[in-house]
Amino acid sequence: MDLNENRLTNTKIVSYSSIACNEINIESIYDRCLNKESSVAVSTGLSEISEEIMSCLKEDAPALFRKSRSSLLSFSTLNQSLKKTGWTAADLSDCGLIFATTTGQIDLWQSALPLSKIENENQDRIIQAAHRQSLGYSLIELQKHFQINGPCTLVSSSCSASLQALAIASLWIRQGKVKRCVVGSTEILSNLTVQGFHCLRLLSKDIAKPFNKDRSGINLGEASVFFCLEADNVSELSAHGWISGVGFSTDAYHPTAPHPEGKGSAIAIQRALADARLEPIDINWIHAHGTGSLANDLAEASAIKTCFPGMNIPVTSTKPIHGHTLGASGTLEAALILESFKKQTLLPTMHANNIDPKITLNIFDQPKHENLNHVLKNSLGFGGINASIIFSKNQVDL
Amino acid sequence: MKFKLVTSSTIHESQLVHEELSPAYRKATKNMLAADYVCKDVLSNFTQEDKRNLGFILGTRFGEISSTLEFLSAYEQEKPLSPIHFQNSLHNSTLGFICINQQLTGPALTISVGEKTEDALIDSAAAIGSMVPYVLLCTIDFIPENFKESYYAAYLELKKNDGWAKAYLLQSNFGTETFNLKSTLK
Repeated sequence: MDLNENRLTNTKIVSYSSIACNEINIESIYDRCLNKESSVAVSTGLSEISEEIMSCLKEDAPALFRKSRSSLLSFSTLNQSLKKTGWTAADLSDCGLIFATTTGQIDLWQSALPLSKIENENQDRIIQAAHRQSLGYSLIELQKHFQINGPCTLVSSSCSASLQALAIASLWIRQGKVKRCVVGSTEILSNLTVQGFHCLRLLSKDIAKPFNKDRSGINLGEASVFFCLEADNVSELSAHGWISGVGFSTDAYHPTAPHPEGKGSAIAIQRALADARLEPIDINWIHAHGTGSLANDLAEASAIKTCFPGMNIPVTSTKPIHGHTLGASGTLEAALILESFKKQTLLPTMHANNIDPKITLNIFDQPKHENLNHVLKNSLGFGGINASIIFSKNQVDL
Repeated sequence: MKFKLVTSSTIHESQLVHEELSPAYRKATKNMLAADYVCKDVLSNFTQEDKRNLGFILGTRFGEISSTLEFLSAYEQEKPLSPIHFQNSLHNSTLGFICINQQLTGPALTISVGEKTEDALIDSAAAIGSMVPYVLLCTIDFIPENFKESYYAAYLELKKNDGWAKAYLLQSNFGTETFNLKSTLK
């Protein structure tokens, strides 16, 4: 099916904000990536947002959002992003809202739920935890507070969740279902994810080394990221970039490992290129999923080689700087692409000095100043869920 | 986006005959077993080529609460942690399981929007339906026994949907809306 057949408009990115990497704005996160200053603690392999930052955020947040770390981050980032647009209450009344997370407000329920196995435990506490365990609670809280009253959904497709969320928003705008859409994601560290990845033997306590011969696993990180999107004909707000093409696919191969030849990811990339009506040669840079796990990096490299045969397109992973922020990783790294459009500078990959000989990609260790127009972003998630989006500095022809 | 309902299927988890299941299902959760059953049922006439052009959206309010509980309880009690419980704890794990079993390789996503999950399925289907000619929608929630009292108290309408898996195969871009998707899902 030709996605462009009924495309009435392009998707303009009018604002974006992020808290991650122990920084409260995207410019500082970008600078860390540019200078290869990792926020990952070497003893734990985790990138946490400090209590000092969380305390500052609490000062400006309503009481409702102060109870949960996840809620506080979501409120603060969405608030920042909306302020940059100047959208009015009327604008928000029919605006879409898409949120992505895999754990929601897990800080409020991860200790209380196991109490249900113990007789005579405090039922009120368990009931409160049950309320918060439903991921939708995070979305509905934001929707009510900000009065964003158009269609809404919450995507929970593991590490591809937020890139899928951006893609769904773009499809809604193209179809004329909404004129504006807020898309966001928040992921916090939790016992479930940290211990879960640890018991899968995927967690590295050193700073991750994506694509490196000596890579030993992933780092986990926290992030909250929000985007405000518009149809191209809605306002005079300037564009930070455009969503030109989207592609999804599924591996149907393994619950936690990607297809070893990256077949699913290759299909998602090809679908995004076709949707954008671009040729592989048009892509200036690939911001990879690049987790640093043995399986992911080989599979993704294979997918890139399949889709860009004989080409030497620069490829970057910034995960050693901010950690893998799971469901929020797609939007966080998309925000870094938009900063790169401003600076016309490609971000380097940390530890790019000893690349795995099986990975024949153009991975570089210093920033590159180049003419950037079209950038591919990939996500690969558990369950074999793949998503790719092409971001463009300038609008593509309809 | 207009849809035509091609076929649908429902089953309660208690109706599954576990002894008849193949060894491939030994690590599956109850959500996975019931959801896979109804999806297989509605796709019985689909070829592998058809499945490449099929979108799939799974809606679940609480995800894999049983596996999540097992994993977190083991952690709280300092018992050995199970990688299977962790991989099965993700909201997305039922979707991944069905994609593997039914060899679905098209666009797929999991959504979870509390009491608005059915509305969100329809809105998400509108987007996915612009990519592919068929969309499979599936809803599933199974609340473990020791949670039922707490969850039913928190969500009054949950009791009637608990344990039920429902699948709907839709043909997208059908021109005229021939059925009320919202009332069908609810």
